[in-house]
Amino acid sequence: MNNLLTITLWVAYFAVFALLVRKGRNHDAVLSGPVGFGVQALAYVATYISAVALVGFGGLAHAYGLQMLLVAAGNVWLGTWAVYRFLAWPTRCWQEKLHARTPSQLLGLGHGSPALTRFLALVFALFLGVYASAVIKGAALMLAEILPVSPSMLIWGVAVLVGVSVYVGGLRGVLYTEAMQGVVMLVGMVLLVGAVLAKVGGPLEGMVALSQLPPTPQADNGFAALSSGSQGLFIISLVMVTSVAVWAQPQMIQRHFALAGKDQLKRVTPLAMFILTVLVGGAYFAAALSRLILPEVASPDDVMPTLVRQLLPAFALQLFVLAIVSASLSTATAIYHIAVSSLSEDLSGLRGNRLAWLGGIVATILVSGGCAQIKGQLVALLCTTSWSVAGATALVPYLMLTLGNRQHARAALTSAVIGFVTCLGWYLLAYKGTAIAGPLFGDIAAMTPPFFVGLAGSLGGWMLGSLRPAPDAARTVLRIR
Amino acid sequence: MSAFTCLDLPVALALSTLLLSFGLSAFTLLRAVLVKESRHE
Repeated sequence: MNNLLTITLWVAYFAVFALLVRKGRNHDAVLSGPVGFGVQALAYVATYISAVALVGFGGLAHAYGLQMLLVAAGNVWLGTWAVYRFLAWPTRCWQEKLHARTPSQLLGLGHGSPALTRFLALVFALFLGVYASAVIKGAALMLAEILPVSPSMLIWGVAVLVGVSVYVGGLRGVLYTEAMQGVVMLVGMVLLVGAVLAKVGGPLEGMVALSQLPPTPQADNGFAALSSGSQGLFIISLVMVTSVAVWAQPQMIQRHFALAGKDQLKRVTPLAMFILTVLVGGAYFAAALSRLILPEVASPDDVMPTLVRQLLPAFALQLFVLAIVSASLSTATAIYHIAVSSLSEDLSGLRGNRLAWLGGIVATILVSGGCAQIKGQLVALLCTTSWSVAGATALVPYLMLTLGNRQHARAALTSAVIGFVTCLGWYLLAYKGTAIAGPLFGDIAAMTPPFFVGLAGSLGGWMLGSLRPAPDAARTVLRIR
Repeated sequence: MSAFTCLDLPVALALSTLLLSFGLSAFTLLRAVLVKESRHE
């Protein structure tokens, strides 16, 4: 009976997935056109939250305790409220004015610099294409827990599934499937949070019990307080990197292109905040309280799977696995779409046709599927650095255009190149854990997040590039309604 | 011991802002739905 239910659940999931992919069939593959507020909000959250955020950061919440709620609060207020309050509508207005089809085109056309479009496309295709390998590997490993197929085959299976869905449905199909996956993530997380709270006797009782546990090296002020020294700094840097670098991730910028109107924001914003609060707030709160149930675990990545196996009945466990697979697939489809449009349209500077789109899909499947199979240092480095590098490269030109109404081809290109070089250089030379020959610039530099260094470099690059004023002819006047 | 007093200030602030976001967004959504329904009537 249980097996039948499980099979029905998975078949229904992929049937709905296929149906929603087909909704985008007759649309432009690169642009989605406007979508409803529910789809917009759910797609934003589903793209934002990957399995890494739920499983990996859940493991961190077990180790660091309730201080991980700072990350959740940052994601909700800086990563969502501030984005919809200040950035989303100006982005949509600029996109419409410039007829931009991708985030790289938005910044290149906005600043009057075709070289900027190509540079960003190259960075996004390379870093997001390889980062997709980590995301599809996460989904494949989760599926390997319940399917009698080798992980290697599942990696190719997931890569092809994501590639085919992006090919058939384009961006509109991606947004609809993400919305469905957002709902599944929400249901799975509510089940887990409910089970944890029931086990520890309620949220308030759990918090009091957690605060009485003895401190550890990571939670050196206890599990209900912000750690001091480098551990506290790590949490603060996690808040900033996950909540501010997200502003300029191309897959997030692209979500604003689907806004139907300014009035839609009045509903999109609270819905996205509500879902994100339940998802990440719930995940980190439950994972922190899980220390009362699982005092020690072998690896942080084992926390959520162990918790789920211990607390949830078989059917709910399947739902939770679906939620994690959904988190991976939604992020993977978004990243694939950016990598493919970079390869098929932005790099050539020509509007892509179906053949170019297919070529981009095949290349992205081969790169991400191939990279997921190997355990190379370079692949690991590209996966680790992708979020920060993309943010440090694009954030300053993006904010200058959308918030500052400043357009300057040379400044934007210099800013992007210096942001990219300083952020990646910091990872390779100075940052603890990724520096090739060990951190070269001392302990403080080794703890400084590369995103901040890249951002400072990018800002310096903008100032350097704008020493000579931009020609008036390059400016486009835009009044944000 | 009250649950909130066992938290230090940054964690208490984070939890408060999350609760605020939960309540505020639920209220805003509910109000939007009710306003729409009353317009239909």
